[in-house]
Amino acid sequence: MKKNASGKHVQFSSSPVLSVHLPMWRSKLVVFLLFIAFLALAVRAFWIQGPGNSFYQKQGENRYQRTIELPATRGKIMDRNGVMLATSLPVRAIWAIPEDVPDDIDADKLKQLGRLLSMNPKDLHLKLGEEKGFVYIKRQVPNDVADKVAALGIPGIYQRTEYERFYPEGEITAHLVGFTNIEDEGQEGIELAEQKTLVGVPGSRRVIKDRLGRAIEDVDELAIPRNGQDLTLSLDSKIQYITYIALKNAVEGHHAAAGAAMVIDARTGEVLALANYPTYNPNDRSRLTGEQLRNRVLTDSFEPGSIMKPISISLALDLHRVSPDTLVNTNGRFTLDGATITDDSNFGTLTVGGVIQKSSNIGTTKIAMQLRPEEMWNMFTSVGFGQAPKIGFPGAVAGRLRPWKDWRRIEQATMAYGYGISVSLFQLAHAYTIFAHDGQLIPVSIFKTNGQTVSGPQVISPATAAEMRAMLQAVVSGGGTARDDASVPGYSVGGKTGTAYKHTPSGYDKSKYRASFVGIAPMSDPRIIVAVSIDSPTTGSHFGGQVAGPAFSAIAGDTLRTLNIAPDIPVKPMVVTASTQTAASGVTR
Amino acid sequence: MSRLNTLLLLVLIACALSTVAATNRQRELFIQLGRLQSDAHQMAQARAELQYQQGALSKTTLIEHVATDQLKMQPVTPGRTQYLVANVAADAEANTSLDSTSAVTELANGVASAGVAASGAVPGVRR
Repeated sequence: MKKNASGKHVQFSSSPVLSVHLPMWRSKLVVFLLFIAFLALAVRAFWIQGPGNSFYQKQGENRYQRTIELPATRGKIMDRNGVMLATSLPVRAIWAIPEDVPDDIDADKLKQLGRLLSMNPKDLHLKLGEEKGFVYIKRQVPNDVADKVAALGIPGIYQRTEYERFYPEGEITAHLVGFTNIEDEGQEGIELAEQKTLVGVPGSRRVIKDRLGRAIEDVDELAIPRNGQDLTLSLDSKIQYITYIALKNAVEGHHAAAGAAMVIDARTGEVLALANYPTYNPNDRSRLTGEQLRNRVLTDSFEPGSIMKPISISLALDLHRVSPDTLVNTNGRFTLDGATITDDSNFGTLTVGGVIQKSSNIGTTKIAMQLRPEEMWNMFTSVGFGQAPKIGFPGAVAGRLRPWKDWRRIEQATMAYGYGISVSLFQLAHAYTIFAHDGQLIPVSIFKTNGQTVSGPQVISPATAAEMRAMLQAVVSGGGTARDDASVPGYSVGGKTGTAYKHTPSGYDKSKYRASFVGIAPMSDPRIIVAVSIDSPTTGSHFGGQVAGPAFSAIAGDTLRTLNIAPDIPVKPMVVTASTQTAASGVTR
Repeated sequence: MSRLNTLLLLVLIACALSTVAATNRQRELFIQLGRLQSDAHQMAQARAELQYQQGALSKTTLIEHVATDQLKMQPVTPGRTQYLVANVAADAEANTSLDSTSAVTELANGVASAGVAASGAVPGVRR
């Protein structure tokens, strides 16, 4: 029905049933609602295209942008000649999402996986049965093995590249270099001390990837990757090997509990070798013990015994309380404040040089008693005793040096010949730089320096140092405590033996010794300082000269030749030369 | 006016095509850069691996084992070493120190080196 021009309803049908009367406002309402709906669509479209598009933008970006991890490697550790001591190589971590691994997986494949990863099938089943979203099956798997694992095509098992630390020199440099854990964090030695320098910081960046998965555009660099810095140690791997072998032979030859040795360049203060025995292989740390891990050179402090005598006596020489020719009566026994001091035998009257050569406790005591406790304490402190060496190595001990005000007279006497004071082998070797370097205590470094001769505080005068060198040389010559044992063919060497009783909670154990030797070579122009200490030798002699002396001789001789230092004393030639060959052939004819 | 519009349309199309081509080229180059960076990374890893292998093969322990066991060599001793005295004048010119005194070492079964002049028991040490 429709209205005509006159406003009357139009009859569309003649049927009265079909005749309806609709009010006008209803059609207007429908038009209005349609208008509102279109308007809402327009507003929504405007909102999505304009201010409210961040959600869609993000969803879109998620579909074509990817964050790429930029790996960074840990720095290498090298010796002074660039020989690799520690390096990181890529390996793989095998991981799984257990719920993605099908229950009906081929048993043969699982067996092969277990065999490839050297894992018990039971352990493998346990790992894959864990109710976790992520589980490591095995970490640090070699790449070739990981490739074989990938070839098995087991669903739910994935791989990730990671790095493993390798130590080519193995047990020889273990104590100085140290090692890292599975997370690439330093645990011991330089690896621990220089963690911040060595560690690499991985980076990441956002890129746009195409449908083939290729990065086609850089969006943003989220973090810049930084590789760890390489470190060059002062160590010489050849000298380290020489030192290690000599030490090992000494410890095993005397059935000792342990041993430690080190070599210092007397000009630059660089540590050329630092070895301990027993040791461990840092590439296989499955059965490590505390004994193997101990870096005895730096972390063990002990009463040095007679090795202290040159330090005490050099102070008396420097203060002109005695001269090298001063005579000291060492007859019999010497009693001080009720305590008796003895020598191994009756040496009679000795010069100051003789006191060092024969290692007389009585002679040293008589000389030391001419010094004030404060003077001795200052001397010991000046050469680094009682303070942890500042070389940036973890666990380096300070030793024990009590304040001089607490010293009794007998303690002053015993300290003069190395009892009642404890030091590390590193401190001893460092202290001996005053004799090798004309009275200066030079700084010691475990990192390679520029090779220049260094200087340090003047502890004693150059003249005193020269006098003491002559006395130390006498120790290794006829009549000395290390005659024949510590001598080096072709080179003038000198040093001091030390044989000390071991201190136990119940006092001194007179059946256990620490045999030590600290020496300098060549004496005409000192180039190296070698310190050797053998803990509890049980077979053969227990004296420093006989136990540690031969190790010193082997280390010093081979080190001097390795450093291409010419002999400074005559050598009996054994080489068949052209002239001797001619002579020999003449005789046979 | 319509000619100008046509010309501008052609310029616009040319610019658009050029932009597409440049973008495509940039992406290709970027893919190539990524591939080369990946290669560089792999090569650095291979280098580290080779250095490790070199280190493992040149271990002093291994060399000594081969020298003594397989090659039957003996450790050098000062008595079996000939020291050559360097020319003093030439040496002073070169301003070298102890290192110029060459040590000729006899390793293999004490066989003498031909042409090496015996310098006597006292080696030529200049200080």
